[in-house]
Amino acid sequence: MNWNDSLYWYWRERGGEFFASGAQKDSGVLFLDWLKGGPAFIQCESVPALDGRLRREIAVTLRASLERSYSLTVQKERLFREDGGPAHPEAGDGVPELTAWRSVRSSDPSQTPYFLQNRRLQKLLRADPEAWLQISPIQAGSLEHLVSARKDAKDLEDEVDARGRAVGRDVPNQRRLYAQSSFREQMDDLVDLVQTARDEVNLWPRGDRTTKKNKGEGA
Amino acid sequence: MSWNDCLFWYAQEEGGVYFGRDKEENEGVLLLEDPKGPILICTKVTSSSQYGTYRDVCAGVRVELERPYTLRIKRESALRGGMNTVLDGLERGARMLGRKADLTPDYGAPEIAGERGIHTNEPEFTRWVLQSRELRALLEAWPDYQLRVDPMGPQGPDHLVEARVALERGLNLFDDLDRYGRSLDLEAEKTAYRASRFSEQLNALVGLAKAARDGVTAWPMPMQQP
Repeated sequence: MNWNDSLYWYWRERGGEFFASGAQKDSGVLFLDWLKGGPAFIQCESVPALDGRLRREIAVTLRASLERSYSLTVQKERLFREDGGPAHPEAGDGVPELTAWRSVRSSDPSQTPYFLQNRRLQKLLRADPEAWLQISPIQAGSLEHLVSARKDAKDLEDEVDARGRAVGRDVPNQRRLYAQSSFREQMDDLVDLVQTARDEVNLWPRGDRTTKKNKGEGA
Repeated sequence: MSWNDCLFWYAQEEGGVYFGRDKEENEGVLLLEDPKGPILICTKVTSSSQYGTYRDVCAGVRVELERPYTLRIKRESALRGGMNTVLDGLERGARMLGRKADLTPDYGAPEIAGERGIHTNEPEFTRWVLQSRELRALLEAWPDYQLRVDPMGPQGPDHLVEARVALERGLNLFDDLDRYGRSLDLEAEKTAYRASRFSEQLNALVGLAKAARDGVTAWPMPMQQP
């Protein structure tokens, strides 16, 4: 099943504002407008790969209003630990354990450990080694930010016949394929992850108002 | 200036919920509120190769229709335009012989069909849709703009009505550098945005999507032939 078909059935289950065309494959977007704290924007984004071509990435994005401009990237898990140790995560909730498996880059290294110490966030990240987090301002210096949970789009291809034509796009077959796939669970997990990240980043100590007059305050 | 920057300033003026990042260029999305339902403004990749990635800017609205309906109104390529001229000639010849040959139907809107190709699964209904004066005026005024209507999924009455234009050729993304090649500051950027035609062009695209939405919902779909 392609992205648009899968997202269509997810929308039928979860509701929200859905924009997609059955004639296209990857351009569907869904706004979950019933979430507490603002809508979540779900899309399959085309991003440049290392070889210059485009690859597809699922992104679930929320808006957050912070007291100062901040950016953070928590990459997906590496195959090997930073220290060259075994390739399987161990128990433990410490930030070093998280950073041993994932690259973390942030504009404010003093605040970032507070953010990453959230146990629920750590648990969700550990449960999905492919997922990664991104927080960044909507404009340089802005207080309005986007918080995204992302992962590579996989298993989102149509079944094709010998001539390369899509097959099995009838409703009963699509329902069956959707139910058999883990699409619903993946999306729910990403929504959960991004909500947890947004809630955590919103809890940060406030008070630095030096950038309050920056661009993006009222976007 | 990137699409994201332009859309950011557009959101500042028009409102709505903006999703876009400073570090990205063409991925920004804006959800506008409208009494008849939300409007999505975004870009979509149309082709990608080692030579570059091409995108359309899309303004999308949703409608409910009685049964699956598709419509494409798009400027024809030069080759297709030439073929249409030949087909027109054949059609005139057939008419002179007293025969009916609807080789290049204009759906009651010859001024649009002359410039663009119109493809639909419901010709009769499309004739009614294209009676909308507002829709015809916008299509005539903006020859690069395209229109698409498609069902959103395999079942149900939901359809997506989409007005599109090529990002690189159809919109004027204003320059954010001064004459010395330096980046503009915020105020200068805002001034440059206001002096540009970006909001006029994007408003026309949104207007086209809304006019098409009104066009396809103004009339009930004709009874289907058994």
